[in-house]
Amino acid sequence: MKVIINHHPVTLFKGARVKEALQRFALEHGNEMPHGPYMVTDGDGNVLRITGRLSENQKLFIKPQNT
Amino acid sequence: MKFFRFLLLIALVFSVISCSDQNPKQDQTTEVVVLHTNDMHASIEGMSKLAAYKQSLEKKHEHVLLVSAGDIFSGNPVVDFHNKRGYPMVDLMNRLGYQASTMGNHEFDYGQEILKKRMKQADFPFICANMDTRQTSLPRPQPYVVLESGNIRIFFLGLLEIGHNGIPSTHPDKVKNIEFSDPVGAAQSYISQKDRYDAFIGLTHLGYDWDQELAQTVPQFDAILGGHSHTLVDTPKVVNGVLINQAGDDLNFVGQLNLTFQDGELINRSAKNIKLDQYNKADSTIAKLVDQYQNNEALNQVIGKAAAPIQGKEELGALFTDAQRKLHNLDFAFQNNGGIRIPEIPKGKIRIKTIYELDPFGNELVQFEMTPAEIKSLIRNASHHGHVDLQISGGSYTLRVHEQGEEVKVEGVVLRNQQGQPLNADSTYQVGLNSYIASSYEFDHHDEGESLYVTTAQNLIDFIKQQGTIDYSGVERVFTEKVN
Repeated sequence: MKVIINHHPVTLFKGARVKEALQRFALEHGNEMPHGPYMVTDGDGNVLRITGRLSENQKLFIKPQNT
Repeated sequence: MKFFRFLLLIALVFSVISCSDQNPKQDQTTEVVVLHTNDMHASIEGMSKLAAYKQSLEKKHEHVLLVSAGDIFSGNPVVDFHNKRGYPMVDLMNRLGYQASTMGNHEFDYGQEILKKRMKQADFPFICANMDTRQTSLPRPQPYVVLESGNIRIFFLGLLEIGHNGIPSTHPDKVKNIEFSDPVGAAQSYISQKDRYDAFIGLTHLGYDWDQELAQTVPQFDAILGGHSHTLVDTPKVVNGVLINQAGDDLNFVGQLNLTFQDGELINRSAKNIKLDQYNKADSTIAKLVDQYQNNEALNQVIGKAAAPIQGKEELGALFTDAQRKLHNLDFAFQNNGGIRIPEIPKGKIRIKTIYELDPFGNELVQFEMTPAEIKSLIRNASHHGHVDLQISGGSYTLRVHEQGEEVKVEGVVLRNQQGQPLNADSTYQVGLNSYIASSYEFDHHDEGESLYVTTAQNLIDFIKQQGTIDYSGVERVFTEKVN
């Protein structure tokens, strides 16, 4: 399955959760991972918890926690 | 004459009472508060705060409902390994007065027989409109529930996500013989019910994106209260006229939908999420019961016996990977050394808590179809500077390393099956990896892989229970050979 993280397509296994998306994003785009605490949101700015299941083409954003 | 006046008065009073009976909602404003949780995952710690919050609302509002949007089970070993698996959750939900819970994909985690028992013990209905259990012994969930608050009747429709394979996100064995259908299609077949009730609400376990698609197709919903994606909605959104909310997970939050009715018509609706983990009141009776459940002996349960100490990465890795391969009929399985978190399982009784110390990360098992070349790419890429990182079940491998000064390079990987024979290069094999390897390691794979929706810790527990006594002393499956 594919999800879009900070505008980058990231390919994951079917049934992956937010935590696996973060692990993959860190591997492929580690330089874009915020320094310090961060949060993951959807396109509407809603916080996604790390055990949440992802859906095909879901958009995620990783941001520093204080924004 | 006096007698006739008396009769007239009686008739007048009676006619007024009759009129008010015929139009009970006339000139009435009623507010109904719907508290909703989702993806609690057996997080019983928050129950006493939820109880207190509900009680505080009941002091201010005559009509307070409490519902769940699914995934009440799985995630807290104290509940998951209670001698009646999952029962503490049902008991607490009964005591808090839950009135409905949508079927979530994790409701199947303990198996159908246990779910059947929990459904019978629940004082609330499990609801799901796109699930047919007639070919199983599981009771068929009601598709919907109608909850009454004074004169107001609210319709809640239960919907469960299904994946590309037509079943929810769970191991296929867990939902054997249960038929699932498209949730949106199921919702459409209930649209006609909208006119019969004062509010029409989706209580869904679909995920936030799918809830929005549902709203596009079924604008008749007044609100969708969702779950599954663990989304903490910041500002509830209106999509195609439908208000959508979801309240995070693990009972850190509770959603609150306020519905205002005038003359039986829904005239206002709003939603917000309340941060329960910072709510400073707790119901003492519920808190005491939660403490009793937390302090039970579930984690000390003995699940099997080690005939000899299981020591080091190779022996423990063999246990990890055998559990994955044998329980899921795979050809190979791999476990990374970094995921093996204790140095040994001592000889003697093996308890559940030892398994959670050994494998604390909540990784799930993922299945890939792979060629021998792809498996070798996984092993080679994992073996930085010639250091062995992956343990194996289903065969053995040798890392061929070349040392030049301080630099060590992996020159090749020799992979063998259980009979010690090389693999057929043209064949494909079913391979199990944990979700950390699947997402964090670089390797070639033509198959994108799929979660088997079971944690590797649960898998170890199931395997050791099945085996009874295990012995991994002296197991060697990974070798290193120096080449010039």
